[in-house]
Amino acid sequence: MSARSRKRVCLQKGASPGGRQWLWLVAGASGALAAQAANADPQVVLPIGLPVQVRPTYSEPGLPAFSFPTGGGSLLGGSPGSIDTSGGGGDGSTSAGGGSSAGSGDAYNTMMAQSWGSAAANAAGAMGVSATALAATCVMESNCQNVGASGGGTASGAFQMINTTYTADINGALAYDPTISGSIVSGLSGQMDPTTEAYAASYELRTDALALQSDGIIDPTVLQTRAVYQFGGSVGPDVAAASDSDNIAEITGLSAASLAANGLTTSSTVGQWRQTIINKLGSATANQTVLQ
Amino acid sequence: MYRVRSGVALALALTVIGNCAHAERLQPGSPLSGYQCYHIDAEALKLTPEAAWEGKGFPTVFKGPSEKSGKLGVASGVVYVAWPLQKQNGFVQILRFGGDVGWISGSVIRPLYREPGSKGGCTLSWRGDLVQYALDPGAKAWLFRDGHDIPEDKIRR
Repeated sequence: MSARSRKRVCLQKGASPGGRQWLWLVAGASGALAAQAANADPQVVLPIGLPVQVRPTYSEPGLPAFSFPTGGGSLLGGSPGSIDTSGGGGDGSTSAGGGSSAGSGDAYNTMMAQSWGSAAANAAGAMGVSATALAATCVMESNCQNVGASGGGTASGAFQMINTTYTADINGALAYDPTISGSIVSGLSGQMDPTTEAYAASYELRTDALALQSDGIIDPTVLQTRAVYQFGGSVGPDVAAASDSDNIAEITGLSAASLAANGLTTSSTVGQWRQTIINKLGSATANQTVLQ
Repeated sequence: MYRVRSGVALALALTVIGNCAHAERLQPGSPLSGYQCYHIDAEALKLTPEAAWEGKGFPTVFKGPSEKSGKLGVASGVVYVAWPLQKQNGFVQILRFGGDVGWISGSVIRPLYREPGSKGGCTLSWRGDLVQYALDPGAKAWLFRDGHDIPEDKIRR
């Protein structure tokens, strides 16, 4: 599969750039109440979901960035859904600037289960794209595993961006929101920092979705944007607007070798390609709007 | 003299209103039989495979048959032309994927490539608020006559 950068006249939509540092605090009363209940009754009380979150208007100086995953995962037994604080996890991930971005679905849960998931969701918000859409990209590319390049290529990181695309996109992300400069790892090393690469991947999603908007598709979905990500700027929108029955080779003109690199054959239809995406992401995520 | 000034003012006002007018949009379910598939002309636009991949150099779509009418967006591949072709001032009326009616320079579009002997075009239909196309047998929505590949440096291995 391939990824590229795009620069063209765009119809703006989405969150405006700016320093959006959200500080999440949690009321601790529920913990105290649970302790009291435990004293009265030895039975284990399982919490259902996260406690009520307070989202203050003004952050408190001196406190680190602090964010909760907003969906999925049990808090018991060390399973996914752990709280992510600034400073990142053991994989060297940096903390994220920018605004948080709501999400849902299995792909979102997969991303949020990573130590860098919340920071990546914030990166998506800073670039004006849905965290679910960003999560769909990492699930499609690496199942959200921060893996290095292999096979002689340069695609690496959780979002498997190649060097040229990554460089163009991280520069684009910085131009879009200069306040993220303190949150990213500079140079190509940033590809292997999931939070930094999340900014680049989010910017790529943004430009791809804006390209579809510019071509007349009003509110691009993850599935439609994936067509641009995978097949390029000229034929991607054509794949997005094709009927399920169309032969994908007759739309794209790609050779058998290039189709094979995308997991397709010369007889594959657009509908079959769409189904592979839906099978991996689920229908709700595939039809999620990309731009916020 | 007053009448002349009023006339000029009215003409200017109409021009401004015309330039700011929103593009017409077909409602989902509207008949689409009056449209046919064309394609942007990579040769006329001097597009390279790299530029095409990166989305550079695509032609502008305007709100009316004039560059002064205002930009509606860009066309990147397949364009749905009003059929038979509706030409004005060198521009051709088109329908965009989201149902907007726009205009594009007639010099940057061409019929679809086809297999020899075929008469293939496309059939349009609505899928939600999207106008989708189905290629007729023999028609190819290729940007280049012999197809094209993903640029070498963009392929992941």
